Amino acid sequence: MDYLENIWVRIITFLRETGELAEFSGRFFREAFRPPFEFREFLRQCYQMGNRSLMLVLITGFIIGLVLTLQSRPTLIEFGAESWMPNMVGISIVREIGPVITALICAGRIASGIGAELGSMRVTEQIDAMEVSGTNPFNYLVVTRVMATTLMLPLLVIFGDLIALYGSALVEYFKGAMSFRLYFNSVFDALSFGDFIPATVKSFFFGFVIGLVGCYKGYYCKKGTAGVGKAANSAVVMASLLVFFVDFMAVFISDIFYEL
Amino acid sequence: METGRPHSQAPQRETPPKAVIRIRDLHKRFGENHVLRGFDLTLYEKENLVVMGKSGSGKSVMIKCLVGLMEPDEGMVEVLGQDLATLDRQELDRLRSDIGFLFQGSALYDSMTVRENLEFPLRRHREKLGHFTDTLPLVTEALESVGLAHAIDLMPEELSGGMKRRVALARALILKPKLILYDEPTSGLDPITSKEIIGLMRSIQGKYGTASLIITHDVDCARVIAERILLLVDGINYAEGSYGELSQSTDPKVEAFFKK
Amino acid sequence: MATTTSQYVRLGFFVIAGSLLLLAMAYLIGNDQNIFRPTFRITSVFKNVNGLQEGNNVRYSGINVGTVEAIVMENDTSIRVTMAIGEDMLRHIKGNAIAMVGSDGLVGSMLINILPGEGPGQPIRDGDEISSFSRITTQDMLTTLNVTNENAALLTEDLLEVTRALRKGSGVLGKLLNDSLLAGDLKESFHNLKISTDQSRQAVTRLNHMIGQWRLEESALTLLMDDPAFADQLRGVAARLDSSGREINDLTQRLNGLVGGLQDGEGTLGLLLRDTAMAAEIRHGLKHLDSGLVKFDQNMEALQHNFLTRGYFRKLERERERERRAEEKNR
Repeated sequence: MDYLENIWVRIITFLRETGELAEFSGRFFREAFRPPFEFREFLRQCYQMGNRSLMLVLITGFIIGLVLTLQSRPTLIEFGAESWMPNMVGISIVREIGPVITALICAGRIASGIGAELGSMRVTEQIDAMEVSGTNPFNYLVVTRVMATTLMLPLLVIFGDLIALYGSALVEYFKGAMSFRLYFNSVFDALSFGDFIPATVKSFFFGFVIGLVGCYKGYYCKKGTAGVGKAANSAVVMASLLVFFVDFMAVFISDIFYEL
Repeated sequence: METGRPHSQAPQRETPPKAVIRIRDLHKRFGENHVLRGFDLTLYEKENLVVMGKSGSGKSVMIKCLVGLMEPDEGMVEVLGQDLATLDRQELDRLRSDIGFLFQGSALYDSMTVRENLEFPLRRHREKLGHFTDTLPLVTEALESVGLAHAIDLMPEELSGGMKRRVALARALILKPKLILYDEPTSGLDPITSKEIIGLMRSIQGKYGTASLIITHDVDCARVIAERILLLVDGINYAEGSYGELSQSTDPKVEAFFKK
Repeated sequence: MATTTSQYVRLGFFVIAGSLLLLAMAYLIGNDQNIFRPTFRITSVFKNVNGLQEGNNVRYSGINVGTVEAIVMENDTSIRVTMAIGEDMLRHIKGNAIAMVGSDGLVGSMLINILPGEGPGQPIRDGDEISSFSRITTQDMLTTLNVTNENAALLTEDLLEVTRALRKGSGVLGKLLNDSLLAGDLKESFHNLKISTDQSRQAVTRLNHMIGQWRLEESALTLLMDDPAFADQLRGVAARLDSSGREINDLTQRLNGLVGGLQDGEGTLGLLLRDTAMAAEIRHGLKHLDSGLVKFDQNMEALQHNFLTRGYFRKLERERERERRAEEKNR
């Protein structure tokens, strides 16, 4: 009985959060086109999210490229298809691994950061203070942050992709004696716009989801210090889940377009 | 900001002073919790009024209804002659620029310096700059009136609790408001710092001739500053009078506030 | 935390670098697909495109010159393939060029090869159609057959060597082959050999049949077959393959007989090994056999493995030694 009730509460919570998030994104689009646009704050957030995450993305991307190549080398060699390494690694990184890994890192770093920041601003009444001093806090805090993540993530993904390819090329160079030129030639030979464009479009949505969830969790943070922690934590969980969900949708949709 | 609208329910006095705030029959519920049940309040020009009540008695809710941070379920709220329910967003923002609000925990923006904190309300209210082209003279003036001119480039985290409260007070003052709302101005401060803040509040009132509405549960604060005290008990204005009158009361609910 | 000028500069650098990389990547990918190069279109009609897809490469004499733009089924037997070719190739490709579907390596993707036609031709224009050539090409066939033929020759040589070795050490091996496992392996090898011979002979028959057909048929292929030197070459290859196949078959039968006879032969290994000199001879013989068989492909590996029985011989020898010493003591 208790158990069933628990499940029921969970379902209701899930539906409520979905509804609230939809309402929140609707509000984002309404406010985003309403002046004034807080350009300085937007730039500040771009710096916070873009430049400050770059190092993390570069390091992870490099290691992913390295490891992916090292791990798949034995199998490819077994099939005598070692020369297909650039094609395989290139396609998997550009299409899937690059965007998703970068998005997950940003979900961990940015979504939790926004969740905690806005959460503590909510708890200490800073958001109310903004409202009272004539600045629309939604415009100032949420619109700028969501725009910043939406625009910065694709750039981070490009950096991540390239550093991962570089890591992979490095392995091939030292272990397989494949020149960098041949490696990147093969990579770009294997890639087509059908790989590149959906992945880039997808990255914009990843960025949007990460910013939106972080802001949503922070903006509606419950009172108290525990509320801030919970906002940051659940922002990461929800953002990561939504990244996978968006990824699934993106693959599904681009598959349909590919068929056409 | 007086509209000169005829007051049908003007107070019955010989020389009726202008009412800055009029609250009539205010109701607010949070789910099952009926916090305000028909609260009435009138604040006159240049007067200061202390509203006392226990934690959770709805004092903060009431003060938030005054600046449109919360909407009452029922009742009329009139500030500076304007009924809040009839205002659109722009009119509300214009009205808010005439109200200073000191938040409970100071609510300074953590990511900005003291100077930027004080400049923030000016972003949307350039008309308050008067003949100045730069914000600096106004910022300096406001900081000097709270005795913190030297702290202009510090970050909030570098300030003590008392200094934060003073900066917040300077921020509330910067738009030269006609009315200042204090939400627990001495909460979380030691008695000596509390006295300093109360002293500042008095000197500001003397200097700018503002009306003040002070919410507190601190009896010492009420004793020092109050011209009139209003007790908020069980969601209504339970008792009203000067400190002397109320402290002599034999009503057990009133006595509870003033007993050591 | 005020946004300082240096932060703006760094942000600007980040954004510009990112955008440039994005554009560079798009350019590098697009460049490969001729998107930023002026192109012209030519078409060709195929009966079978063997899984060719839009976007596959088009090569002219082995150079990537463009991509497949469209594959349209025209009627039940003909497929029209439209290719977008870089405009700089316009003056090199002639109207009598031949398009054929090929593949890029063993596991590579499909592509279209355009080969220059024989003799001078009209320069090609945008929208022209060039003739095509089906997938099962004589060129492919010849290449395959040549390889088969070479393999067959190698096999024959190996087998000859083995037989020689067998003849030389026949006495020893006769006993050795009583080991039925070894004999089985050998037999299996012979069997495989026979199958491959049969297969290549079938291929030759098919090829002969095809050549016969082409002669009769006035198809696009007669273009090639009209070249008498080419036809002769083809027949020469077929004949050589046929004879080598027959040779292998012959050998196999002889070897089979040999093994069969040896297995029936009497005497035991133990009897043989009582004489240490004899054991040395066996080892010598085995070594010979080993070198003869190294080149004999996978099936023979089992046989090589079985030469590890040398260890077994040595063990037997040691046992003999112990027995002898025991006998001496008893004495």
